Amino acid sequence: MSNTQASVMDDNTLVIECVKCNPKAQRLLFDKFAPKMLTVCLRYAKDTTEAEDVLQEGFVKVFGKLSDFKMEGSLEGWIRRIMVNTSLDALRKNKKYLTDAKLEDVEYKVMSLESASDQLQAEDLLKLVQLLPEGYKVVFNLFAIEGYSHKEIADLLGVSENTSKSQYSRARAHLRMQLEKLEIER
Amino acid sequence: MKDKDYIKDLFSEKLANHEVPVRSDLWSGIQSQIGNTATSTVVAKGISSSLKWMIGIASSVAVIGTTVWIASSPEKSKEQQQVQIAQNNGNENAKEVTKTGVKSGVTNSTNVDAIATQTSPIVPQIELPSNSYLDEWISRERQLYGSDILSKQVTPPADEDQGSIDKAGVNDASNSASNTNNATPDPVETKTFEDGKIEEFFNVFTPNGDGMNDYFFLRSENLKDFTIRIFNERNEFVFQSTDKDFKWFGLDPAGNMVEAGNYGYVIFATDLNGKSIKMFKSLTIK
Repeated sequence: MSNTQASVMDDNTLVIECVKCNPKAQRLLFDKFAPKMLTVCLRYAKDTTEAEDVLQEGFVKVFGKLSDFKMEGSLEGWIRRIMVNTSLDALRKNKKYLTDAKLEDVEYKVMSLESASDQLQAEDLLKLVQLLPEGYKVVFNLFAIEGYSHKEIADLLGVSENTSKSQYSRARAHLRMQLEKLEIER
Repeated sequence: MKDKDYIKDLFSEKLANHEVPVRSDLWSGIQSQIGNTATSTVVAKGISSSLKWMIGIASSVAVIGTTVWIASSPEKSKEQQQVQIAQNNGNENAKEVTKTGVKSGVTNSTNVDAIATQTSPIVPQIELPSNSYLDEWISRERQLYGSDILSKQVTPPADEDQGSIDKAGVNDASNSASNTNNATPDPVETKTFEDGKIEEFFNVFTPNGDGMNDYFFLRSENLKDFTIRIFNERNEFVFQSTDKDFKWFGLDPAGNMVEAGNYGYVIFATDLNGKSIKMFKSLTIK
C-alpha cells in the first residue's frame, strides 16, 4: 500500500518498536503515514493550520493507543480511522467558531483552479472538497472517500440515514457543478 | 446513478491515497507530547496547539531548567527587595526590606498598588505542571540576558509596554542592590512575603473606544517579575508585556486592531518569595 515510502521496518515491527517507545520507529511511523493522513485531515478541516493541528492531535492519539492495535488489520486503515474521528471531534468542538468560507479563501481557490492543468489534479479536487459547505463536506468525505455506508455515517454523526443520503447527493450535485464550471473555463 | 459513480470514483481514486507534504516541525510537536501524558492532558484543554508542543518540548529539558531556576531565584528576590526600597521609599536603608516588601507588594506601580490593597479573595488559577516549558523558558532567558531578563525583552513589545521598561529600571537601584547581592539569602526573611497573586477581572472586553471595558488588564500582588503573552486562535502572538500594570487595547504589534474572537494568554511570573507562577487562560474580544 505505502511501499513508496522508504522504510527499514514492516508495519508490525514498526508497531512493536513504537510501543517500546523507540524514538526512531516513532519517527518512521510518522514519516510513513503523515503525508497521507494530512490529506485526510485537510479534507475535513477548514484550512491547513487546522488540519495540521488535527494531524498532530491524531498522531498523539495514535502513539497513545498503539498498544491496543490488533496486528490483524491494516495499520494504515487504523490510523486513518483515528484521523477521521479526530477530525470529526475537532469539527464538533469548533462548531461555534466555524464560519462559511471567507472571501479570501474563495479567491485563493478560484485563482489556483484557473491555473489548473488539463488533467484534474488531486490538489484541485482536494480544494473542491475543502470548499464544500461543512455539512456536505463531512458526509461526502465519509461516504465517497472513506467508504462508510450511510448507516454508519448516520450512527457516527447522530443524524438519520436519509439526512446522510440527501447531504451526499447535494454534495455531489455541488461538486458536479464545480467540475462543469472548470470544464467550461478550460 | 452513473453520475454518482463518476463523482465518487473520481474523488476516491484521486484523494484516497493522495499525499501532501508535511512540515517537518509538526513531528517535534508530536514527539514532545508522546511519552509525557501529564503534560499533554493538562494542555489538551488549552486553545493553542503550538503552545502544546512548546510546553511539551520543555519536559525533556525541564530538569536543567528547574535547577537553574532554583539556583538563581533567591539571589534575584533579594536584589528585587532592594529595588523596591530604592524606588518606593527613596532611601537605601536595608533594614526596611521586609516591611516594605510586604506592604507595597507590587513594585513601582502606584496604580496596581492601589488596586492590590483592595484585593483579598484569591481566584483559583489554572497552573501548569512545574515540569514544563515555562520553567525552562524563564531560566533560559535568565541565562541569556542575566538576572533582569524580564525587564529586557528580546522582541520589543507593543506600545503599551514601553512604560514598563522605563519603570522597571533595575539600574536605578543597582547601588543598593549590590550591597547585599552576594550575601547568602536568608530563607526566613524571604518567607515573610505573602504569595504572589494574579487576578483576572474580565476575560471579555470590547476594544471599541466607547470607554466601557476597552482594554484587558490584570491585577496582581507581590510579584517580582511578570511577562504576559497573548496569542490568537492561529497561535500567533499578538501582544506581550512585562508590565504587571499593562493595558491591552486589542492592538497587534503592527498597531492594527485584532479581530474579535478567542485569545489565549500565558503568564510567566515570580512572586517575592521566588516562587514561579504560571498561568494559561483564555479571553474573548467582542
